[in-house]
Amino acid sequence: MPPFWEKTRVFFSLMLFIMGFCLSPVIAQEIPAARVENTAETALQSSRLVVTYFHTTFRCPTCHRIENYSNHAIHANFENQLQSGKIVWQVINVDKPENKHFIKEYQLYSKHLIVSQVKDGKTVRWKDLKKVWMLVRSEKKFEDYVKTEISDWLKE
Amino acid sequence: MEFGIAQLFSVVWLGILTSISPCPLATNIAATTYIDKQINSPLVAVSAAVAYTIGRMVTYVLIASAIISGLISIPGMSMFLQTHMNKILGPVLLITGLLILELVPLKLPVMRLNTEMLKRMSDSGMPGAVALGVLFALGFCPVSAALFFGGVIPMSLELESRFFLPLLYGIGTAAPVIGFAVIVACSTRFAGLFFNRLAEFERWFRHLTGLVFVLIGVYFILKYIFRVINF
Repeated sequence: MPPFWEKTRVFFSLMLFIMGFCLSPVIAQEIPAARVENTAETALQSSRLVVTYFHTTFRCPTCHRIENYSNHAIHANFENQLQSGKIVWQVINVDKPENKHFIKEYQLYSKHLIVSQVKDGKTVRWKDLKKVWMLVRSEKKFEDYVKTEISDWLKE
Repeated sequence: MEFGIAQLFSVVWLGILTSISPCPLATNIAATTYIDKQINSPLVAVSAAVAYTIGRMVTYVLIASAIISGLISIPGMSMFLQTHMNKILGPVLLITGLLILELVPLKLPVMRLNTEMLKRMSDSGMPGAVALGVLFALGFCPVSAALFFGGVIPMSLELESRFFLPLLYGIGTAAPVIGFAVIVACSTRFAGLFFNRLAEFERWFRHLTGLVFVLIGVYFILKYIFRVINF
C-alpha cells in the first residue's frame, strides 16, 4: 500500500475515533460533587451574612484549593458565628438549572467567593472577593484576606 | 486616560500569573516547542514568539473592546469561552501535532497556488504562531478567566483603556514563550559553532514539538471533553 494511503488511513481512523468520543453521551455526564451542598434557598431564609463559593460542574485544582482555603478560613475564624447562624457558609454549583440565576445576579464569570448581606430574605449588598485568585498561592495570605473581609462585614 | 507605573506593572503581572497557571502553561509549552523548533534560525524563533504574542494581544484587545463597548456581557462571554473553546483546543492541538509529525497528509487544493512568498511565510511559522496566539488566548479556563475578566477588564473600564491595558496583559501571558525564544536564540548562536549538527537538532526538535502537541491535545480532550482527569 503506498505511504500516502497508509497515512490517510491513519488520519481518518484517528478522526473517526475522536469524533465518536466527542459525540458520545459520556460528555453530558456530570462528575458528582464530593460533598453535599446547601441549596440556594438556605441563604435567603433569614437575616445573616452569607458566604458562598460559586463553582461550575467542571472544577480545576486551583478551584478546589480556593474552596478548601475558604472553608478552612471560615471554620477556623468564625465557628461561633456559624453555630449561631449569623454566618452561613455554602457551596453552590451554578451549572445546576435551579442555580443558573446566580450567574446574572452576581455577574459570575469564573469561580467566585461572594459575601452577601441578606435581610428578610433579600440580598441587600454583596461583594465578590476577587483577590482570592491572586492570593491562592499562599494559604496564610488567603486566609487573612477572607478573615479580614468577613470581619469587616460583621462590624458594619 | 492616565496610567501609573503600578497599574502597568500589575496588568503585566496578571498576565504572567495567567501564563504560569496550569492550563495556560500547557498551551504556552505547546507554543514554545512550536516556535523553538526553528532552532537553526534564531531570528525566526524570536520573530515567531513575537507573532504569537501579537496573536494573544489582538485577542485580548478585541474581547476587552467588545465588553467595554457593551457589545457582550462579561459572564456570557467568559462562560461561553470556558465551556466551548477548550473542547475545540484539544482536537486542534492533536491534529496539529499529527501534522507536525507528518503522520497525516496535508495536501489542500490551495497549496497548488503556493507562491514563493507564501511558502516562505509558512516555513517561517509566522501565520501559525499568530493563529496559535489567537486560539490559545481564547482558551479560557477558571484561572485565566478570573484574572482577565476580574482583574484586567475592571481596570480597563476604570481607566477607560480598551486597548493599552489588555495589550500589556497579552504580553504578560506570552512572557515565558518570549523568554524561551530568546534563550534558544542565544544558545543557537553559541551552538552555531557546531552548525553541522543543527539540522539534526532541528529534526529532533520538530518531532518533540509534534509529540508535545499530541500529548497536550490528548490532555485537553481528556480534561474538557471526557472530563476524566482533573489536574
